[in-house]
Amino acid sequence: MNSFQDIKNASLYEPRIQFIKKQLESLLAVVDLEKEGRIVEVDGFRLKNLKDWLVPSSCDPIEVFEYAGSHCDCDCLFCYNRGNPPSVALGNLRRPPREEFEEMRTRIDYFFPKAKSSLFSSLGEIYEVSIHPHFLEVLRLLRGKTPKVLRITTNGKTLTPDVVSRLAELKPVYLYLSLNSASPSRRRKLMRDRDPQIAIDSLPLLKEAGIPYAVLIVPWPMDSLGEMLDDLGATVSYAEEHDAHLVGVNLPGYSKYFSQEKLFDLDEVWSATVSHVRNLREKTACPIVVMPSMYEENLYEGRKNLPKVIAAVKNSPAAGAGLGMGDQILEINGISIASRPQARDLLFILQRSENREARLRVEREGRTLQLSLNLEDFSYPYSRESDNHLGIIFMGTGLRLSYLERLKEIIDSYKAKHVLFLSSILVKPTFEQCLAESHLFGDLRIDIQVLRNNFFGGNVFMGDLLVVQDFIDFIKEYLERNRVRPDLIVIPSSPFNLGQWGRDLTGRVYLEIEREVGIPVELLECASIYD
Amino acid sequence: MAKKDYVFRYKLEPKKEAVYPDPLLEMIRAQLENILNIVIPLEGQREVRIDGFKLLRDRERAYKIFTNEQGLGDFLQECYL
Repeated sequence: MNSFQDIKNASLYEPRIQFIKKQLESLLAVVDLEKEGRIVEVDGFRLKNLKDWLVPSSCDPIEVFEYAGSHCDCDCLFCYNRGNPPSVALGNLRRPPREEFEEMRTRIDYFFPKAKSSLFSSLGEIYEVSIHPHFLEVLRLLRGKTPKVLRITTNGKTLTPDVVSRLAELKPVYLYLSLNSASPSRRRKLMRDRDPQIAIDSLPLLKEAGIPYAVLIVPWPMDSLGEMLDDLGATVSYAEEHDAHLVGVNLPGYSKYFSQEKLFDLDEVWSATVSHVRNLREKTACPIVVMPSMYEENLYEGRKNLPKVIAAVKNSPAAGAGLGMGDQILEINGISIASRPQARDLLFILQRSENREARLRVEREGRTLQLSLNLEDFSYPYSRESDNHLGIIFMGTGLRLSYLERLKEIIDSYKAKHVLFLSSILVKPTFEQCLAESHLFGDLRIDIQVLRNNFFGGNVFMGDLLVVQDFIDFIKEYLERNRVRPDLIVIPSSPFNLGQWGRDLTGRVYLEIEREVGIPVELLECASIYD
Repeated sequence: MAKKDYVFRYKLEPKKEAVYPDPLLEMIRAQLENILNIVIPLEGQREVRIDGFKLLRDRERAYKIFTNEQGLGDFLQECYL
């Protein structure tokens, strides 16, 4: 008999299981069950017919193979899993690898890409997938089900020549390689990797095998900020030398559970890193993306949400046409472009189309240029399957103007006159700009407020990591401070995006906010910005 | 031999917290709270937020469903889809 599942994970993605659990517990408080006249002591339940538990799904293979990531073979200084609050709804089952494999195999059996349905998710904390003894077998089974790109995040410790060649048999594959440093001594210190050379040496192997990859770096300011920035430059050079598809720089943060003490000044480290990356971009052909990208945009871009190019992937149609840093897209195939999400959407459609050419009108240093992209002229590290925008890299996803239309619909449905909109430090400037330029709202009062993340604490300020209790605490304080009581509160849905059931990271439903504060709360559906 | 599905099992625990001392009343409250965390009831096309209940045998007394709520009151009756 296999282990019990962790109900915390189910509460995020499939709260109907938690519903059944609570209903049964509630009933068993007042009745005993019996069989053939004898009381049956029940201590659990199981799902009867798994076909009943299929849910709509994009059927990305990662939905299955991430269950292989229950352990890790590194011990990174900055591992975010160590900073998770105890009440976060991400359980980590401890069970034998064989049992994990059995679950993955069943998930593959119920993985239906054509019907776009699969078994409900139940993921806990995710560590390193590639060390699982059945990992490659799982990938092979998945490849039998879907031609989609296998997008694998790995610390690279297992990327020996043999593993790389076996991954190459499963193409299309794209790796997010958490290299962090191309210096063996620094990688050893940062990740406590005893054999750092394996990951470092994997870059030329991946290139040789034709597997595109992103090099990921957490610029942790160790031992000093200057040392980190120097190493960042060296690692970017190494990635460029081996034709990395792009470099992703994940700006570092930590929760109060990770450290009670201040480990570094976030603004100092983040602004210095972004400034350094901008300098590196001037002399590096490999695209370098800083995440969260809105931090860079807020620091450097007076006008937000523009379809400005920060780089083109080497050997991509965009690079072939001469697109590069600073170009702003004005038109795509004759269609006028107003915002970054619009540009990304059109490029995404073109990328998936049979078109052989795309025409772009761009603004470069005050001049307007007409560029023609040959969509059939590309080579490694660009690939048709794993790229999304013909090789154009933007400063993040941007804010969709359709969100404002939806916001207006919500406000109208309540006939609200005073709306409290809860945003984040990162999104607020862009949201304010879009709101000021919109003609939808007239003289309606929308009070945009930013709240602190007390749940994670530390220097975590991403809006997507806010939880129900953060909202309740903030709104209660707000109501004490302000004489005018809002008649509607609107919250972006992104902190509740893990499942489709409006749950935060602790498993609480957003409806609890309005029950506590006595004002209606609506979620404004929007994508997570950290992608 | 045909391979079997992995069994998704979940543990039951004795119910601990109770809002009402009457176990049968508490059972009804808990079941309502539970269902209101996964659905929003409708009256016609109109969304209705529920925060209490009465027993059919005693329409004079009302019971709260949620423990900490402020009493959503009348305004929620006016929410439309």
